Amino acid sequence: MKKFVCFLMIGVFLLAGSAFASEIELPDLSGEAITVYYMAGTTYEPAARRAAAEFEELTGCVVRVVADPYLTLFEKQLTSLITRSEAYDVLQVAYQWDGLFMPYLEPLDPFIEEHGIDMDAFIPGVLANCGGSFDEIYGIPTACDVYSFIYRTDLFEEAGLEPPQTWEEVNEIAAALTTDDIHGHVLAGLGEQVGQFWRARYLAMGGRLLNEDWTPALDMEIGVEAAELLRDLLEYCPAGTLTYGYPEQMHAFILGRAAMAEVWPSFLRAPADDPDESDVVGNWSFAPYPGGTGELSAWSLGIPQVSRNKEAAFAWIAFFTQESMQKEFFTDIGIGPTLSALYEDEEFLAQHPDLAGVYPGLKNPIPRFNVAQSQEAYDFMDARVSAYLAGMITAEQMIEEITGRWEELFAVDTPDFPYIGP
Amino acid sequence: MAKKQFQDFKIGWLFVLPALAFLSITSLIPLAYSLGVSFTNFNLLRPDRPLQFVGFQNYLTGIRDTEFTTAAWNTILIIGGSLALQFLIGLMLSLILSQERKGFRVWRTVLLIPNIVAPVVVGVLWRLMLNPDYGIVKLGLAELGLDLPWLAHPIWSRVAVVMVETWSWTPFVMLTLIAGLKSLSDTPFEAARIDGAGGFQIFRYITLPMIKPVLAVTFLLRLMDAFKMFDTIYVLTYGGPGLATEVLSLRIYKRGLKYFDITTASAQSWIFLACIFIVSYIIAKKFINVESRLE
Repeated sequence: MKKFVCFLMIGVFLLAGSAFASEIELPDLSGEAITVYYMAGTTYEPAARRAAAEFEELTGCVVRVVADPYLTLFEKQLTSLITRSEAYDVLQVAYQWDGLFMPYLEPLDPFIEEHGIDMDAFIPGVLANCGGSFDEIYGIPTACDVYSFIYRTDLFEEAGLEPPQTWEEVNEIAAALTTDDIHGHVLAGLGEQVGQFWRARYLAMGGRLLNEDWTPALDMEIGVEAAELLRDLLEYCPAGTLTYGYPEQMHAFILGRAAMAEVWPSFLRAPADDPDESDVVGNWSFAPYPGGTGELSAWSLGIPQVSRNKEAAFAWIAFFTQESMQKEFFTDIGIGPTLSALYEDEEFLAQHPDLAGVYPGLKNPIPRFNVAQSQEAYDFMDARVSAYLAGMITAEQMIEEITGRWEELFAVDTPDFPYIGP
Repeated sequence: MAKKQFQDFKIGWLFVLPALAFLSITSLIPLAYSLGVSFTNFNLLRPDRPLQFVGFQNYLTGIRDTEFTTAAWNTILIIGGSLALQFLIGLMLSLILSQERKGFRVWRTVLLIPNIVAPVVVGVLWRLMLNPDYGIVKLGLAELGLDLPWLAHPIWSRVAVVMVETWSWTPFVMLTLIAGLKSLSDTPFEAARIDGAGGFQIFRYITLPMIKPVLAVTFLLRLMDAFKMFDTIYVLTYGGPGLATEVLSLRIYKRGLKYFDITTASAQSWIFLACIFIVSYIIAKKFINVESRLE
């Protein structure tokens, strides 16, 4: 009996040990504590909280997780950086903020070398746009997404339709699938995010945002056409689509009230397959935007220069971004992995076929420019597109006003390197 | 005697000094700092750059900012609409509820609830109630034939903000006017009744002139507070759609803390402050005149 209890205890210890395992070598950080700052919500924050417990178990380092919603994350993080606050040791940074944040972040190259992190393992299209500045690395990519369609496979099959290949087809399909009970499409049309939908159409039609010298290059004809296409689509969306944030858009889709939506896949992957939340389990899939790619969303983890626990902070980053964690976060929470291997693993792909619909877009995504003017430039564009869709201004006025403001913005502190985006 | 007066003077200053120091540190120094910054080229993101005096350049940039002028018009429209409704409804309620009848005391308390709720909660509450899919107010009004895109249309979103502000602040107006009405002497009313004056005549020629000072003070307080409106709009519409409900405080916040353009934001804050001061001064002056006329 004693022997049995002994074996049982050994078994329990072994199991407990394997529950918190890491594929990278972690230092003993007993007695240390770090504060990590993430975006609040149902994706990144829960991942951080879950990993914090495991990291503490493995290293002895206490991890305090602080989270704020996207709307206030930028200003709070940047305020903490420019005031040289030592409050945070790790920041989750959106790639479009890199231009403003990098002067205050620690270069990570020495840590990467020391820990033997293989940067070539990251998706090149993501790595090229996220966390780096030319030759120096300031953040390790932790999550990525590319705007894609989510669509109801059952409804498309019933109607004999395929995912759209052109933006005109998007409207046609939305019209064909709109019934008394179901809307053909749903947008997250709140002012602060609606500009993206116009940009997607405008760029796919051959429009450009800026010239090499950072002067605006908005094309009136293409811009108006893209705007009208987007406005026409509203007819097939729920009446309140212009007031929808991501949660409302997500609910419209997973409650079966919309046949198609343009989304960040990470936000929908897990809830769409959760029978407690979703009415469309097993009846949805992702498809890339027309042209095969869309606007990129990518987050990296960086360390403020003033952090007092840089070693522990980097250990956290290495732990959080390793393959096993990314696999776990994807499977359980839906966070888009940044490592190519996960998108190329046949077994993993067979378990998660929706990944195949996102990877082509991530290989060659459309990035936002990430210079000091980014935040205001994109905010202004979002507000003008919102004003156009709400009927306050014409499409021509929208293009003229964006051009005017961007001219003013980029005339001051013009970046000293050429613009290379679309 | 003179020595005693001097002693009292010194003790008086001793009592006042801590409050004065506290106010100076927390209010005056930041105010002076922002005033100073508004005349320079200070860049929060590049503090290493040499600081230069730029005169009124930031003020000109601030005034030429079309979003700032749009926000100014929105502020006037929203404040004008909501204050008019608050005073109209508040006055009517106060005339009814200032009477001592059974149950009125409970009503006064119940009607005060919207004013107790924090502005952020008010924003969240109304955002849910006006939700186009399941919002109780939106669906209720749709049943009555008012199926409107409350938060998605430039005009209706302004109406929604006015409606929410009115809901939230009418109780305050009602309460102060009830206090004003209750402080009035009965004598002129009794005399008017004996002279055969009707209800409207009493209201028009006795009640209204007598509560004018209370109305003016309440209006001044509400006006100054309304200019600071931020939280509710931030949550309810975030200034959208487009810039339809963007008010000055929200615009200045975005310029300062979202785009980190501290110099223009400071200049715009001072322009805003000057406007509030001028409007308040005119109303206060008018109020003083009213008071002297009554005297």
